[in-house]
Amino acid sequence: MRRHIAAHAARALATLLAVLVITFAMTRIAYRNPAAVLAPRNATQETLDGITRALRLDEPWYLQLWHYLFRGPDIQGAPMGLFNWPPGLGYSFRQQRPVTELILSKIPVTLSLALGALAIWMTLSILFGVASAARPGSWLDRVLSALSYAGLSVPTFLTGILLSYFLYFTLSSYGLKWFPASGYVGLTEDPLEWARHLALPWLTIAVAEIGIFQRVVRANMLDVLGADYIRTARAKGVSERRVLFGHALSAALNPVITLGGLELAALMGGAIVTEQIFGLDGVGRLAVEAALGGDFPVVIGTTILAAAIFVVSTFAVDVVTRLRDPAAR
Amino acid sequence: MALFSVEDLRVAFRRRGRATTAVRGVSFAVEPGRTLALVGESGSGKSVSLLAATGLLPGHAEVGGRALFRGTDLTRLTRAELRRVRGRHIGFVFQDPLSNLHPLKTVGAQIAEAVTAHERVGRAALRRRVLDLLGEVGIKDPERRIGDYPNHFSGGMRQRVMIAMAIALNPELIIADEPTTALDVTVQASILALLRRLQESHGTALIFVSHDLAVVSEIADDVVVMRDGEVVETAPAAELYAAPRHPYTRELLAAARHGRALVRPPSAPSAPSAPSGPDAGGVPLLRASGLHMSYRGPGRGEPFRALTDVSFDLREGEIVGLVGESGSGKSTIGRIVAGLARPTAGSVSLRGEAYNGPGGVRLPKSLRPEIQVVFQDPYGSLNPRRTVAATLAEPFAVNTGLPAAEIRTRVEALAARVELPPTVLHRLPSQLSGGQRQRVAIARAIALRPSVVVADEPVSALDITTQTQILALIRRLRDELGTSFLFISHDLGAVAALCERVIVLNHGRVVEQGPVHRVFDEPRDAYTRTLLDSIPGRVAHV
Repeated sequence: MRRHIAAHAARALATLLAVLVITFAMTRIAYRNPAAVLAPRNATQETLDGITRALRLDEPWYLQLWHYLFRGPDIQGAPMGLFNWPPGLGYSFRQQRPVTELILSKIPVTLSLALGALAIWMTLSILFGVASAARPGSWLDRVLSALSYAGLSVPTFLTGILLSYFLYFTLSSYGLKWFPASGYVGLTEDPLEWARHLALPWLTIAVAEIGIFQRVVRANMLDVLGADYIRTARAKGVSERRVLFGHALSAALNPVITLGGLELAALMGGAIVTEQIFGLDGVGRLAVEAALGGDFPVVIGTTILAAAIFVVSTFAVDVVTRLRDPAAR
Repeated sequence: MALFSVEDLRVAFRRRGRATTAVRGVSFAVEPGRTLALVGESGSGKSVSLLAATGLLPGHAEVGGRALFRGTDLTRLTRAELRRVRGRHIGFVFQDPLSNLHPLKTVGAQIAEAVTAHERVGRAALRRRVLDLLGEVGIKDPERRIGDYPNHFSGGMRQRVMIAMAIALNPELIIADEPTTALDVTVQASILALLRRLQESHGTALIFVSHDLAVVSEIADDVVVMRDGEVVETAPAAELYAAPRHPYTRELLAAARHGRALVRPPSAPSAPSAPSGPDAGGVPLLRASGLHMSYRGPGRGEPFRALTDVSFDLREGEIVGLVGESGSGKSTIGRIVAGLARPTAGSVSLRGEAYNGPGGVRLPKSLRPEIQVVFQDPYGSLNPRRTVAATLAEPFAVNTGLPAAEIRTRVEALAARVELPPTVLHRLPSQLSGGQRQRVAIARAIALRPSVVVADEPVSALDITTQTQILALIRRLRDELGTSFLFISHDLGAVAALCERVIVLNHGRVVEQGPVHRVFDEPRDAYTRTLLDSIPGRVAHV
C-alpha cells in the first residue's frame, strides 16, 4: 500500500511538471513580443523594458522556465518562483498583483460553490438512484429516470437562466426575495446569507450532475442487487432498508466515488458558466478573463491549479477506493 | 405434523408479458430433525422451489400453491412478516461461499448481523456469541479471525462462516442449497460431517439440495427427485437407493455409480484398445521433466511454489488423469504443457523436441497445431458473438488456407464427429446447452488432429448425465483418432472412468503416479488415501 502511494505520487508530480512545461512554452511561443501583451494599456517603453528584464524575456524559453521555477519575476524583492517558499506563480502586470494572491482571493467562492453542490448532488443522486434500483420499472423509477435524463441533456446555462427566472424573478414579483440572483457573501461573515446566495448556483450544478450520478448509482445498485450476497442478507432476515443502504450501497459506491472525484476536480478548477450566470467572482471567471485578455501569468497559474486539483483528487479517489477494498489493503 | 411442507407449488417467471413455468405441482415435506434431499440436474427447479417458498425470488416471479411452515403459509405473508421468519426460524446455506459473503464486510460483522437482524444484543455479548459460533463451526483461533474479510478465508472456511450465520439463532430448519458443490472433495467431506454434527446436537431439520446422489446418500433420510420442474419420485433414502422406481432416478443413480464402479475396476486395464503397445518402451509422445513454478507475491515473503519437480510422460493414444485439489498445481501443469505459461525451471518435449524451457520459445509455431486445450467453462471460452460454424471454421482458415467450400465440409464432418446435430452450427453459444457447448470446444480442439489435447476440468461444470456423455465422447475420440489426452480433474470418479494412468498432485508435488486401478485400489501415498476416502457415497455403496 505504502509503495503504491509513493509510485502514484511520483507519477502525479511528473504529470504536473509536464502540464507546467507545456503551458509555459505555449504562452511564450504564442506572442512575438510578450512584454507588450503583458503590460497594462498605454505602458511606456520603460515599463516594457522592466517587464522584459523581470521575466528574462530576452533569454531562451527554457532559461525563462528555470527562472520562473526557482526565482520568479524580479519584482518586490522576495523571490516568488514555484519552487520557492511560499511558492509563487508569477506576477500579473495588468492587475499589478502576484498571481497566487489573485487566485487565493477567488478560492473561497469556488470552493463553496463546488463543495456545496457536491453535497447536494451526491445526497440526491444516491437517494434517487437507490429508489430507482429498489423497484426497477416502477412508475417512481420511470419518473426519476426521465428527470435525470432531462437534467443531463439541458445545458448548464439554460438551467441557470431558468432557475433564476423562476426562483428569483417570478418569486420576487410576488415579493418573495428568498434567493438572490447574484453576488457572494463569505461563510464567516454570515452563514445564512452565504447559503442563500449560493442556493441557485448549487442547484444549477446539481441538476446536471444528478443527471449523471442518478444513472450511475442506479446501474451499479442493480448490478449489486443481483449478487448472491444480497440474497444471503435477505435470507438472514435483514430489513429491506438495511439491505439497500447497508449492503448494496456500500458495494455499489466505488464507481460513484471515482466519478465524483473527477467531477469535483473539474468544478474546483472553475465552474465557468455557473460563475458567469450568477456573477460569482471565482477561479473560473479569473481564468476566462485572463485567457481572453492575454494575461498569461494568470493563465499559467490557473491551469496549474486546475491540473494540481485533478491530480490530487484522482490520488485521493485511488486511496479511498483502495482503503475500502479488503483485497487491496 | 410436518415442520415444513410445500404443497402443489407453482413458479413462473414473467418477462415482457410472457410467462415461463419453472416449477409445477411440486410437493414435499420435512419432519422436525430429519433431513430431506432435493435432487435433480440444473434447471430441474429444486433451488427455485425453495427460494420461492421462502420469498427469496426476484419480483418478476409468480408463486402459487402453499408453503406451510409450522402451520403458517409463507406465500401469504407480507415481506416484513416473512423477514421475521427467515434467519430466525429458517437458516440458509448457499452454494458458492465466496459470492454469498459480502466482500467489504468482516466475517464477524456478517455473522453478528444474523443475530441483530432479529434481536437486540449488547456489543460485548454479541462479540461473545459470534466467537462461540465461529468456534462451533470449527474456525480455529476465532479471536484472531473475527475481524478478517471473506477473501482471507479458503472456500471451506467460508462455507463454515455461512453455516455459522445459518445456525446463529438456532433455527428449526436449515436449507442448504448445494453447500458442498464448489468445494474440494476432502473439504466436502468435512462440511458434510459438520452439518450432520450440528443437526444432531441442535435437532435441526435440514433440506439439502444437490445434483449429486452420491453426496446425498451421506446425509439424507428422505429423497425427492426432480426433473423439469416436477417431482418424479419421493422415497426414503434407503428405499430409493435400493429400488429406484422411476427410470430417471435409475439414470441418475447409474451416472453416479459410473465413476464409483470404476474406482474398483477389474484388475485388467480398463482400456485395452489403447494403442500404447509399440511406443511403450521408446520415446514417449510428451515428456515433462523437472517442472518447477514459483510466483512472487505482492509482499516481500518467500515466493509461492506452485510446482516442485514435476515429471511425467504421456504416451501415444493414452489418457492420463491429473488429479488434486484446488491449488495443487494441476491447472498450472496443463498451462505449461499447452505453452500458455512458462515454468521457472524444467521443460516439456513433444516427440523429443523440447519446448517451453527457460530461454526457449513457449510453444514453437510448428508445435501449435499439435497441442490443443479444452477449458472448464465452455461458455467463457467460446466467443459469444460467433456462431458454432464460425468458431469451428477458424482453425482451418488460420492454419490451412483451404477454400471456403472445403472448410464448410470439414466443419460439418467435425460437428458430426462430436455428435453435434447440423442445426446447431448456425447458433450462438448462448443458444446451446452446456453439453453442446463443451462438444463445440472439444471439436475446436481436435479440428487440426492434434496429438495432445489438454482438457482442464472439461466436465466439472456439467450435469452428471451430460458428464457421462462427454467422457464417453473423449474416449471414443481417443479410440478413433489416437489422440492423447491430459485429463485434469478434481473428480476421482471421472478420472477412474476415463483414464489409463493417473498422476496425483498435492501442493505442487507428484505424490503418486501409476495405472488407475493400481493407484485407486492400492494407494501407496497417505494423501491419495485421504482423497479416496473423501469420495461421497462410499459408505452407502451408492
